[in-house]
Amino acid sequence: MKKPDIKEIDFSIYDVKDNVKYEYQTGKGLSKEVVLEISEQKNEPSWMRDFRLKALEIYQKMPMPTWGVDLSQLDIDSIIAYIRPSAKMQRSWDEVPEEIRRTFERLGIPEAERKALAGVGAQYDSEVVYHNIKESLTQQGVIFEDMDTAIKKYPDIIKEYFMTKNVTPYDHKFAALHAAIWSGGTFVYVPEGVKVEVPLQAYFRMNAPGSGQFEHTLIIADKGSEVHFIEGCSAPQYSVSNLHAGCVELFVNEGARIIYSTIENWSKNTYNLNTKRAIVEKDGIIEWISGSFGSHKTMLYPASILKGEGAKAEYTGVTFAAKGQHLDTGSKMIHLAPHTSSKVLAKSISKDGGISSYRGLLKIGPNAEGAKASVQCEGLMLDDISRSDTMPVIEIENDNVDIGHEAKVGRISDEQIFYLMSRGLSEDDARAMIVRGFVEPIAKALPLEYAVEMNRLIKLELEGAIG
Amino acid sequence: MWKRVSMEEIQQPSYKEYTSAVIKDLSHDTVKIKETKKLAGLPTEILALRDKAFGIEGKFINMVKDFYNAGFHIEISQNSNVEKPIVIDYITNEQNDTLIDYNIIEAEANSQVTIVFDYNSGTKGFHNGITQVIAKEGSTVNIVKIQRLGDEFNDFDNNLVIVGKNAMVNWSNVVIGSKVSAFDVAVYLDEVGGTFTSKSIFLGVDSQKYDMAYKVYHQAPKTTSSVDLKGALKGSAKATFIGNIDIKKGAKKAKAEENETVLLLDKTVKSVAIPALYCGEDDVQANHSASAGQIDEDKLYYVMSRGFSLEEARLLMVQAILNPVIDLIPYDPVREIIIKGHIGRRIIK
Repeated sequence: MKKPDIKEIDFSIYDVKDNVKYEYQTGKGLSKEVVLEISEQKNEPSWMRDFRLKALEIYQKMPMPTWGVDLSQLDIDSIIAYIRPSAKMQRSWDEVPEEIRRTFERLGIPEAERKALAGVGAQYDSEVVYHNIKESLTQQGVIFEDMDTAIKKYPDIIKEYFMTKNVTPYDHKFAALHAAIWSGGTFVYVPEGVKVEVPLQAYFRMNAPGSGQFEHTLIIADKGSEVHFIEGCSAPQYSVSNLHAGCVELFVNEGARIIYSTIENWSKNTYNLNTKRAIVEKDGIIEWISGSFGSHKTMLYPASILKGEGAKAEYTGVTFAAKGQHLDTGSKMIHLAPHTSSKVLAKSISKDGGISSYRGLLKIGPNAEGAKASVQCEGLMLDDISRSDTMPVIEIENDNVDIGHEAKVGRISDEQIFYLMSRGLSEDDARAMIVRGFVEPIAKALPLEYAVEMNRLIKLELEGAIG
Repeated sequence: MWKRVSMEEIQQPSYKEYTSAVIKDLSHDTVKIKETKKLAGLPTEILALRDKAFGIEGKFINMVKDFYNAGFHIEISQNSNVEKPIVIDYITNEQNDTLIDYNIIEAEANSQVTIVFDYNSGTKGFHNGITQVIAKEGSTVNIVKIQRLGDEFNDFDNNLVIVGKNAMVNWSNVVIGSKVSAFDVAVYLDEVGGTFTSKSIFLGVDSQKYDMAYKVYHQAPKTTSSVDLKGALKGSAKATFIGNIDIKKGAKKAKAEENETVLLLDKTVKSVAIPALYCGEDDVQANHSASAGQIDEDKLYYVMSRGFSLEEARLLMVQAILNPVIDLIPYDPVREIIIKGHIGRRIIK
């Protein structure tokens, strides 16, 4: 039987390189001077400068991870840590420089903002060029700022929460790297009881070759509040490596809920080594929705620390690894309190020699009485030159738990195709339907408007089939 | 050795003689049994396995290869069906408290055999062993390994299984003894149509620590594997289960299945499961599952409403999980009295 030709994601709209003037950039590599330069350029308070220097020291002492993807080709000394386009942060798209605005228009960001989003931040290389939120939310006390502004406007909050109690520079080498040279990103604060009905979005675009993007996202959802944050990323294809080492810190307070969706579509020269973690208090809910399509190599394992009684976490992820890609993704669920629950659904597709891996940790601490957890992994292989690996770790330190784990790997079976064909579908239609069905849980998890946006973004084309 | 039972502090003992192995049923004329140390040299087929990775850690393998003081080489002739099980009884006692056994089993084409290893008695001591099994074309080899050593034992067991064309190896581990017990079973399905199945159980109580690993390499088309491990943990016992299914490119129509079920009987137990699935071939069926939890309260309530005490009811539930595997042991006295009795005493304390 003929194999389906499932085309890779259409990169053409992401691959347009802009001729943007850069106002300032550091030299290649990483040193105390580079860190001081970044801090000075940003005119930061001294505590942040000291924090960066401390992190640099930690970074220099820490070893590279020896597991996961092969990082031997990643040369951090050839990465430009900080590169600023000549554009000031604006609150209106009209004021964003033409070149940059056109890029974001091609990606459909301003249009999505008008139609479906409550606020948008757009980062171009190292700096945020656009940040705006609907007036009505500001009136309810919702804060949605780019990180640099937030440091100046809300120094006490940032100082308290920025890489201190959630992710810290001590966690791993790339967390330390991020802490030393972070730039841009978003700060969100949702006051007690406020429900932000329409999603907020941040879009991260890397344009300069050989550069790195290190944005920091910090979201605090106060008691009983709700917010949905969407993150999109892309970059044009270059022959040199780009590095993305962002950091996301989420604080879900009592009874609050954060939905954090990511559609990652970095170009295939990008190393995506991202750290994401949520601390969930009593009865809080964190939902991660993650689509990993781009990048050369990815290591990304969003962690949920269920700290308060009755806290819940969900992770729903799709990973699509095509030629030359090694995407090592997964989730960490750490149950520390009674009656916490977590659910993981991870799907992966690999083709043309791509490697997709699920690497996960499920930990039930001694105090997490009555915890419930389920992990489900499914791998779909579209040919016999690709790989699909599953490496879940389940650690239990308590008896009163209910844990289930399941994983399976396989290809589209001839029986499935035969069945659908007996119902009058052509072979291509049948295959297309099965692949669509396979990624359905992710499409369903996104709000409708954004699912449409995602569909455009991930355009899975099946030969003459998907209409 | 990430997440695994720590073996750093375990002292390797100095060399000692071991003389108390007993091998029963020597009366088969199609079976050749020799003590490994009396061989003129290791069989060429075993030497040819040098590049096959196996075992808990290199140091344990090297120790056995250099210092083995026991072990048997068992050869089953072609086309022979050895009906009665061959039982190797590794008894330990104060004089024989250091057992380092090197066992080699070669089943010639189309032969059938069942071999039981019974590591038992003693209270305090050290066991480290290698068992290498070569199942040639069309043969069926059943291996049962019972580890019921005393509570002050450190036990290490390294196994290498080579499954030939259309051959079948059925494996069973029964782990109920020792303070620290680690085993590793590496299985190479190198030729078309090979099958490996494992049905194993463990019961960990008090501060027993178990580290159990099955690594199955599917390297040829139409190979099948199934690993099923069931166990219960009580007190502050800790168990780590590693189950690797590694399907190499080219192993078309391979089928692999892996299952772990753990009953958690106390708040203070620790259970770690790492059921990994590596897949480099698309035309396969592979799945694994792991579950852990308490005994269902409704079931306990039902049994207790029939007049059983809580402990008896718990024992019944544990037995319901473990007995189907124990019943496969073709070795009556051990099965009925010792193992089942042992489990009963350990659950009701």
